[in-house]
Amino acid sequence: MKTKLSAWKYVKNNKHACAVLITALGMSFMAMYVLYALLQTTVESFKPIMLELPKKISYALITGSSYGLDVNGYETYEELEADYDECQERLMESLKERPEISDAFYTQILMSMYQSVVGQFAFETPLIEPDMIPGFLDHFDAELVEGRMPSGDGEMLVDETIMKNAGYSLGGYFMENWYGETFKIVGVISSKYLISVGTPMGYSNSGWYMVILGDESVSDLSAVLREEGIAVKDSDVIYDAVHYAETYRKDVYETIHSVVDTILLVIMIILTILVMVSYVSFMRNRVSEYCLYASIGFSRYEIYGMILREMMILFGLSCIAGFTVSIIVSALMKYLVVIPRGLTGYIFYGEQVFKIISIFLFIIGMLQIPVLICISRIRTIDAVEK
Amino acid sequence: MFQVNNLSMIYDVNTDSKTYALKGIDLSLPDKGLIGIIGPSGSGKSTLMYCLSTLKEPTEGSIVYNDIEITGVTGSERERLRRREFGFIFQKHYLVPYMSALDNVMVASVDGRSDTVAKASGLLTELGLSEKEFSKKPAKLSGGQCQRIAIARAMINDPKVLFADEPTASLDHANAFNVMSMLKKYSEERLVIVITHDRSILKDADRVIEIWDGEISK
Repeated sequence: MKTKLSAWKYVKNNKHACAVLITALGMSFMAMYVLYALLQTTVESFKPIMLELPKKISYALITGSSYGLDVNGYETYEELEADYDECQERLMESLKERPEISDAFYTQILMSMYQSVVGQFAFETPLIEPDMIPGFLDHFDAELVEGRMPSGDGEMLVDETIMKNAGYSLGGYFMENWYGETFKIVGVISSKYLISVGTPMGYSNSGWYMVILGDESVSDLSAVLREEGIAVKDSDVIYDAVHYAETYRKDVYETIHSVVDTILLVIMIILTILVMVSYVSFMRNRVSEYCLYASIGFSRYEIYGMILREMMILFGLSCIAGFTVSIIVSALMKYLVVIPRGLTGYIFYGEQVFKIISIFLFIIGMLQIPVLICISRIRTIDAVEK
Repeated sequence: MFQVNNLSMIYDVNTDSKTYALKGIDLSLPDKGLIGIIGPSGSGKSTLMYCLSTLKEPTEGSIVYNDIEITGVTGSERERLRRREFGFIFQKHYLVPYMSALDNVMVASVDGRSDTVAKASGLLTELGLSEKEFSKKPAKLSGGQCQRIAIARAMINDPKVLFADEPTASLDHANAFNVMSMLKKYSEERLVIVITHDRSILKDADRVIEIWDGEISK
């Protein structure tokens, strides 16, 4: 068996220097991973509200012209309003006849805020009469887990996750900073859609909308409305699954990933420069050793092989250390920060691990430049002694 | 073993002021024996050793080693010769600072045989190092001990030719005598070429070659 220059001996006998490099690379791994995990919390947390909830409920605010009304042709506003209401009633009755739609009604809504680690999302909470609430909850497979059903004006049922997220308590007030002590939380509900609902209370609301309760086939409400003869225009407000899926893709997923990718790029550039500088210094300190190997008959290829194996050991250990610390920090973050705030996050993100390993492989690739320059400059001892 | 013909080593060969490190050396060396090459500093003795051992390529002339013209062989063949046929003791010990004494000897081993540890330990013991010093790193050992480790490293593959450049320079008298005894013993089976400016260590040499200004004077 032909002996190879041992790569492990350097690592084993230079524990301090190697530990510094492994720690630095491992911490960089962790920084890149934890940053992603933190920002990804927003991406994961907004999914139920932006992608799942709109599959069950849509909101529409349709202008008179879309109903075919000549809004300028009325002498009084009351006449226009009467015709508008009639068109709206007719549309809702027609919608309710469709098998994919379980209910359609015109009601007030409140805006609710869902706060993630980075960013917040405002979504609609309908205000309906107390007798409609049981049917409404059934539509979302929601159940009352604490408190009671609303029976009077200005009473709210809030999802348990939203309760945690907003720091509400039973008996407290919903969106108090917006609406004051108006909408009292009387019950806590649980469903996978994070839905909340309440009863109206005078004019403290965020407007009136047509609310359509349906199944997933109503994802594109504009298409459904066109089928009903409504000439949907850009001026109409349609909050359906298609709208929220697009908003989620552009404003959440792509924004977050673009921020993460930019940060990763900056870290990668800085890390590459730092590692290259330290590796050059590290190899300079070992020139005599490489010259000795060349003098006693080891080829440059064998010396290069040893350097490469050392590099792989150091980066491999850095990945193991970085990954281990990342998982521990992510788990702590999940249980101490994410879950208590009613957010969703995971401990393991394979895609990010793959990205970080790719960055490390890129750095290893870049390191071949100084390594090959060093290898090409290796001389035998006679040149060193001269 | 070595047949050297008209060997010259010229520095600044493309300029008018050519410097001859070696000038027209003709030399024949046997398969075994202790050969001393002696001369003052700058006389060309180290250059001669480097040329013989393929570390340097001469400007002119030929060196035939066991029917191989080594001045014309490829780089990989030179590496093979240095790895398998030659052993080196340099002026400085050039030990790897992070390796133990034992690892420094074994690093040059050609084959990863199981008895390499025993052989390296045996060589270090013969050279006067105690077992507890085997695990020490060069920084914890004296200059003399380091030089003896370098000698053991040169011998680990039982090279056919052992090149030693001032092998006793950093040793005290007793250790120098011990090392030269080992080299003498080794030269009973192999060729040992010792470069020195200290004539006293060559009293047991089979042949002493004196070099002066790049030429063999005796």
